Amino acid sequence: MEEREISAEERKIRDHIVMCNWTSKSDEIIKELHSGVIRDPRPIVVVTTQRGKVPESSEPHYQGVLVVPGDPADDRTLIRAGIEYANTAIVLADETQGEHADTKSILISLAIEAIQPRVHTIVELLNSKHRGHFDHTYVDEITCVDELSEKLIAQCAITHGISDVYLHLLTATDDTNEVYMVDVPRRFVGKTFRELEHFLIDYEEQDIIPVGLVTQEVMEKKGQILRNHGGKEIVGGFLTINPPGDNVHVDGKRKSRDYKLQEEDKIVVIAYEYPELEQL
Amino acid sequence: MERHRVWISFRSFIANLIDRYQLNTIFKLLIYLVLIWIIGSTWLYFTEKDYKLTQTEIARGEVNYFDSFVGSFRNNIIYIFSGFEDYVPHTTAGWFGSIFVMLFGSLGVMALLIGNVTTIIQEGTRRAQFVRRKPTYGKFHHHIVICNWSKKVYEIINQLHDPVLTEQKPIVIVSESADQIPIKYTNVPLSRFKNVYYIKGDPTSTEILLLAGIERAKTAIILADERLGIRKYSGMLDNTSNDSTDRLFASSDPTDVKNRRKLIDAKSILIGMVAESINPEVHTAVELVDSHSRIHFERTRIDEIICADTIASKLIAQCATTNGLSEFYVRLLTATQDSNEIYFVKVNGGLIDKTFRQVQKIVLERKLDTILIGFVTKRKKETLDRHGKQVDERVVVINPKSKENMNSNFNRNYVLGKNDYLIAIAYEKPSNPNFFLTD
Repeated sequence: MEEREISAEERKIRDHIVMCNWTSKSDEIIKELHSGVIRDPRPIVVVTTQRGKVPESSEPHYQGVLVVPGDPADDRTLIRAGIEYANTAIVLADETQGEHADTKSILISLAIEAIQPRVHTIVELLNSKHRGHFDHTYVDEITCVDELSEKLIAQCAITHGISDVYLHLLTATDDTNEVYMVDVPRRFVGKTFRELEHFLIDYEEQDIIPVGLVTQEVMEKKGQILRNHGGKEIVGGFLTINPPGDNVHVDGKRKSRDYKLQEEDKIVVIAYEYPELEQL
Repeated sequence: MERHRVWISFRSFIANLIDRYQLNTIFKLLIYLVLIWIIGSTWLYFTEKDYKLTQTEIARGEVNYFDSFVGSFRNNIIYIFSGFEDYVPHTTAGWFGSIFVMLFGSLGVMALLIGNVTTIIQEGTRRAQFVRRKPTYGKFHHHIVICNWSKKVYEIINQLHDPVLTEQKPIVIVSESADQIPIKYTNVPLSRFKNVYYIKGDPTSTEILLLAGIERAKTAIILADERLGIRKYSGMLDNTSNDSTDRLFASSDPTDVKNRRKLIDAKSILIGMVAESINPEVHTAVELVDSHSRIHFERTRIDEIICADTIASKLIAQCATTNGLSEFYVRLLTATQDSNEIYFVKVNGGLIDKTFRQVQKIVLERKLDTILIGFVTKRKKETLDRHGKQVDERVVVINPKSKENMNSNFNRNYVLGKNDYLIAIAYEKPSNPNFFLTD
């Protein structure tokens, strides 16, 4: 872990992950992001006012972790963290703020967006009631811890032992599976999901199970088509899990199992490591 | 065969009605009324029957209404509901009789009855706003016990009592932190609270858990007691207040926060241990707030640990690597008619003795809207337990490998046995015979 206070910008770090706020979750996240199974681990730049909380660790997954002290809601700090060139921004809820944690997170997200709207922003929400405030932002993903755990607990009561399955899928190691989204292999453009399933069952080179697909659709929010500043419709990825075969479940954007995959689509798979499907 | 219905005998069904509508008071009042009626009618009959009407009275059109036994009873009813009307008694003793009936019957008991009914309706309306207290008579089987109340209970009830699930198990909530649990103005439809009951008491105590029927329960969910040490809570809950962060981060001193989290987990693990010691077969799922508490759980018989921090951290990391994954997991975790969930399907019928790969192909061929992602089986644990016995441990295999692995036979050619389960992503729990090849 780097100690000197040189900004990420100076070091010309690109395509990295900016983590705003250091919390009890940060250590676990770094461990996952830098686990051995990740092919090209990205550098992580931690922006926090509590510099002292970040441990001085010589463990392998702390290689490539840089600390930029400062307030994550402050523009200059974000620029020093190289937000303009970052690939992903993770905004963690600042536990010391108590019930104002979510408000702070919104401020940080707005600051990030103002400088670099294209960075993929993930925000951790403490109170699900604040979800509505993010409607006015372009935050890409919101993780509400409370909601997740209550759903998981309810599932455990219905299906005993299900948390093992989720934990397995969520942990990134060599002998556990993860969920990946990959481009449709050239060979399968124009073919259906069903044909893909047939092929992968017997494909012994890599163990892959397809579970869904992402198609490019016009984005809607609450029934309204989203448009950009020029009035053009915004097209985004629409996820279909377990595409249905019959017409009962097929509605609107949900694709059926016999839908012909297109070039810009992605398939969602479970695999031990990032699937290499281009050479098929 | 699972029996999840509430086993209430006919006697306790009546007991339920009586309790709910305070019918014992009404019964008492009705009996008094009937007694007054009988006494009054008999009195009037015996005092009035021999009365001979005078000429003036006959000329006025008066009649002796109390000369027959039956007639006396019939006419007395008018006293109770309306007063004298035309049914005036003619003897002095008769007058006493009618005053008696009207004073005690009409003004007395009737007024009380009406007052009581009004109170009952009011009380019923008030009670309808909260979760019902668990009645002492009812015995539940294969139900779900939730220990410690928090905001999460609402979503859990929402999911567990979703109409898409064919079995609607009763839920008993045990907590000491709330006097009443409100059910209005939550996001949960009222119908889902139908079989939900509340016991106010300390979930770490054996007696309270026995009251909740833990020895017959199927699942025990132990939530983190977020209000631990903050203040004794009583009264209505404000659904707009930020409950969980308030309690968990009551002070901003990080050491304080850490210690509180450890205490909350200690209490949860304790409840889990008590539950398992009373009923080792109950499936205990404990919610932990501090991931470091996990180590304590490994020394107990608690079946499942859900650590929100761990799940969230891993999910955030996954989202950073694969953008858009949070939606995938949230959709999978939400149980509704129209969305997929992960199910464990017991291997049955024609699927026994087939390999995983064969079953995958069968599912494909039959065009079932299901994706098999793995299987669950048991194997003998390598280390013996405390008593020197060899126990089974559950093995969850996801995406079994194709290539033969020297260390394990849990690959795609694994032969499924009748105690194994398949892990499937589907819109609803696969149950049709088509799936099990029993045509």
